[in-house]
Amino acid sequence: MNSGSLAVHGKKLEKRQAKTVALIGNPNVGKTSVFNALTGSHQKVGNWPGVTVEKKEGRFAYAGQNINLVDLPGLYSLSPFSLDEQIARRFISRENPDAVVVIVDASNLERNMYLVFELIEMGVNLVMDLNFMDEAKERGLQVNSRELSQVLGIPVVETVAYRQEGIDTLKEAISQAAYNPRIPKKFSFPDRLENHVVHIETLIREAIPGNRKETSLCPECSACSGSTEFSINGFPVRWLATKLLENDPDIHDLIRTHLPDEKRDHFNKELANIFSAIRHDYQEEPEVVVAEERYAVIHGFVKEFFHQKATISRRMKLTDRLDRVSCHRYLGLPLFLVFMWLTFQATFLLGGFFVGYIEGAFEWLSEGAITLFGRLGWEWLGSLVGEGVLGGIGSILVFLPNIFILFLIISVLEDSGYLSRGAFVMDRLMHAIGLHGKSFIPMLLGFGCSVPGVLACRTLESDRDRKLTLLVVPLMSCTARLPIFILFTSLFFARNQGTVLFSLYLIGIVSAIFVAWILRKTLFKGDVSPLIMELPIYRIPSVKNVLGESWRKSALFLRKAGTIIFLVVIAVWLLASLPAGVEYASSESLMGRMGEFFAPLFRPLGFGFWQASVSLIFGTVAKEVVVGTLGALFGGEGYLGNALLRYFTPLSAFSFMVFSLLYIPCVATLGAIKREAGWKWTGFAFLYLFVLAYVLSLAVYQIGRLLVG
Amino acid sequence: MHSGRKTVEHTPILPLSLTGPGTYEVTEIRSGSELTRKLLCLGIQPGQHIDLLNEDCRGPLMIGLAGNRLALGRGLAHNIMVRQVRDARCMV
Repeated sequence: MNSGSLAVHGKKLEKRQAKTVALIGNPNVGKTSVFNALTGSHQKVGNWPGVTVEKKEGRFAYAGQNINLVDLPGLYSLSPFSLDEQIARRFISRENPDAVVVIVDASNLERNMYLVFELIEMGVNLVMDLNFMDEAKERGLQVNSRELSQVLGIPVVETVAYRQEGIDTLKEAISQAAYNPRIPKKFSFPDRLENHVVHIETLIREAIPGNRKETSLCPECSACSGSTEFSINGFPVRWLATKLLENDPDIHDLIRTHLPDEKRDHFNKELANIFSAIRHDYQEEPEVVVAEERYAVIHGFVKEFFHQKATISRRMKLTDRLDRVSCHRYLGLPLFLVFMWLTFQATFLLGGFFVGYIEGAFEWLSEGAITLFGRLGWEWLGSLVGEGVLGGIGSILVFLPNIFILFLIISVLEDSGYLSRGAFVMDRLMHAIGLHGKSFIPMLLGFGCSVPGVLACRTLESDRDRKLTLLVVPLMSCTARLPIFILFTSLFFARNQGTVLFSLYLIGIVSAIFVAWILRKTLFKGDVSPLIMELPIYRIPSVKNVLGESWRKSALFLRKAGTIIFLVVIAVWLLASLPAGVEYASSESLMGRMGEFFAPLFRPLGFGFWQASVSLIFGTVAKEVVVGTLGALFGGEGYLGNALLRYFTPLSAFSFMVFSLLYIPCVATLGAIKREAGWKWTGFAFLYLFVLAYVLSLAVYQIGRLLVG
Repeated sequence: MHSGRKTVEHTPILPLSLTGPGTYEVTEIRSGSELTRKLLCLGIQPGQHIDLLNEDCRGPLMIGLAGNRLALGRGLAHNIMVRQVRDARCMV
């Protein structure tokens, strides 16, 4: 095949519809900035079918052509190790995107080119984006993109995405590629290995007859029909052959299921012969040989087309210097803990600054509504809007600043590269309790919201580590629980609010450690799989990305407040007002009767009155609702404080907070656990969290009573 | 590429997990973990020079290679056989 075999895909030409283009690349190559630079605000975030891995999609138009961009999870190679890497590979092979953009960190070529060459082997319609060109140039890299593009048979674009440089050229290249697909040039391994690869190709072709799909990119071109038309499940045969050599378990399974019974023995025997021939030739395992030879090709290639001086970049020197402190064997951990402590201090102090204003505004609105509707003679509407809706929503929205600041700080830590150092210094500690160093990142994200925490578990390679981590993530106190704590601590522990808050977070963490330790000894016996993780070069986070990301997450909170919480609050108001004629939020109301039924269960914990049990029941919809329900039942922010002071003692307030911290996670979290780990583990999480919460609150209240007298 | 294996063998070959800070040449990756392939595609493969950057004798290792840095569990480092090339470039 030659690069002149440019042809338009006949079928797709007829309907000039939007093209789908996938974005792929190693982690930490600035993929998010490229995605943001390309799509601007035209983004939506959904989930991949069947799993809760976040699927980011966006679109842009170039010269009247519409492109839908799908951001794939970051991966180092097309051999998937974790769930998100599998998703990326499956998308490229099964969904057949019209083009794939591979983003390459130009300052770190050799490793990045590994993925590029795998994609080329797969025969994907490819666009290569050399990102971080500024950093690469600073390191003395010179590249002839045009020559490179000709040799590889794919368009090559240089960008500095966080400064928007080269984005228009990239857009042009993408839409060109999407509408005029072409196949990259084929590369051969050195003969010593190539002969074996070709041999396996022939074996597959001979053994599996029925799967000859016409997936060639250019049907009318006869030149390239030889190697690309034959594929199984969208995987071209040559790529399958190399993956067999690389011992890819999925591909071995795939071939096994497609092999007709009568050919199986012959195929396996021949394959085993090839394996032993390679072992004999190289004195090494075939999977090592393939990687080595691929790197050898890349090495020669990089030497030929990229001229780089062997200098260490300024950023690398800085990284060296920073790591000497941040990963120091004695200093590293305390330093990290100080950072975490500062994070939470900032969240509460800076966030708290706004609380008074928002509270005031809602009180004013609420009273206004009650007075206004009262004058019009619609007291019931005044009660619904003022007490129910504004009271309920207001008591939650107060915490928007706290939540935004927490997400902002986590985002800065993540983008700067410090978060993975956190995982590094925590690894030993985590190991001791039977968790993986990387488990620490989902747990930290869990402080923001349990759902992304559960999602982040997908980066763990071992299934056992992943399940164990996602079971303890809900114990990390998420921002939705913060309203409960802030409300109660400000009423009952005004003097040492910070300490009490900190103790609650600590109870969550200690419980997680305890639960993880128990589970590792019982249900998840065995060693923790070893850590393998990139420590990215430190970068100054881009303000735009960080703000965008934290706003996106806070907006989810706002949307939750505007939809689910809004509806629940109205339901609470209705249930508290019915049957007609009862006093609002009295024990005679439907709500009251329901609460009275459950109240005895909570009496030993110190909050055996119906409002508390109702708020906890509704709190399973979303934890903010606990406060929202109390707000709606006690009629808005202003009265809420007084009412709670009558109903709770400091001890029962603390017991209530402990219970809210630990009990059943919200519906969204349960949903995420279900999709990631199945019903069995969701049921397990539900039960164990309830029991743990009950036992601990009981202990707090009963022991506390003995101590207080 | 493979020239590394033909060098004079005056330094002993050890598992990476048992060495101290310094620059090493990878001589062999022992299979035995499903993560062997992951090591390979991250660039840790025979012939490659890597820097061991920390001197902690417990916990994960910090590895530098070609402008990258990796954290590597000790168990995994036990499967990477190396030969010392140079003394420490820097210590963390």
